Amino acid sequence: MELIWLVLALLIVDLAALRFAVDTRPGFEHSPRPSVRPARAGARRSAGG
Amino acid sequence: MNFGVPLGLSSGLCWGAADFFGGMQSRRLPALTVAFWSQLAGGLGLVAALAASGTRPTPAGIAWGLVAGVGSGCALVLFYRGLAEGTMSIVAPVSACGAVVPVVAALLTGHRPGALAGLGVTAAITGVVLVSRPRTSAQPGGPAGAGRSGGVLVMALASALGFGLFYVFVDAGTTGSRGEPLWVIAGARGSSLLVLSTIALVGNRSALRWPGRRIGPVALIGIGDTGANLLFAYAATTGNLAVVGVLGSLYPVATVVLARWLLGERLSGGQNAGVALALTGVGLLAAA
Repeated sequence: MELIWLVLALLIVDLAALRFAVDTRPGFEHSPRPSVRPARAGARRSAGG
Repeated sequence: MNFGVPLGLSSGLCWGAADFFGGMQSRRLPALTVAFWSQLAGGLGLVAALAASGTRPTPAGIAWGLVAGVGSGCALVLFYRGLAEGTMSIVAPVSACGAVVPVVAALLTGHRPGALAGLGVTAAITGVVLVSRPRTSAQPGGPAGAGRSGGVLVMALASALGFGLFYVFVDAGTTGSRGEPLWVIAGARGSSLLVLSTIALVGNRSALRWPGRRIGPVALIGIGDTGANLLFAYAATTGNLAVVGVLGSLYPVATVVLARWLLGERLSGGQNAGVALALTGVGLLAAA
């Protein structure tokens, strides 16, 4: 009976790893950064017509 | 002269430093890449240790090791990702609370843990609750994602569960002279590499790509981790196991000190108390 609990616990860890570890982005890439600066964005729009 | 105490302390320092740098590398590379290549490098060190020891493998010991490695492989990648995403001074002590799992497993098998173990579990759980309380101001040293403490806490707790299961299965493999500890660890290392490869195949195969110029530091993490295992194993044979166990279990202290020193991490008063309580709980559990 106790083996069932241990296997279930192991499954929980596996699922957690599948949920979080498949995300291959390194930690620092998660920092929120502005993708394009406003001035540059305006310049690109102008250039693009 | 008894080398148990210095060897036990060295194992704790090596584990804690390897964890810190594992987390640091996971801020630059995917945690899966760091876990896989560091485990592989450490595995090569383990092969050398096995060849030098001349011990014979036992099928039962290796089999238990294979099961243990499923837990430790998943736990390691969750741990590295948690360290990379969150505040190391919190993630490391929470993850170390996996020492609670063998006590729960003992309860499930009808054993009644002693007063020291009960006290350790209470201290560890109270510590985890205290460090989990959100802090309003930004924490220096942590990555920008450190504010998303919910996911990080889940990763830390899941890694604690995985490491705890690893202890349970390794204990099952080594108890009663069924398996030589080194071969049990070797079995665990083999299956953890397999599990990490499977996760990469399911998710993103590029996670196992060659880490390039970072292979040096990544390999050192794995070698440091394996070295700590060997130091601990040797300390346990030469010194008092209760003392050596407590010294080795204090490895998150090294991670916390390095995070404060090199990253400038600062915690609130309540969180500091939680870290101290969690570490006390881990120490008590190791001594029980």
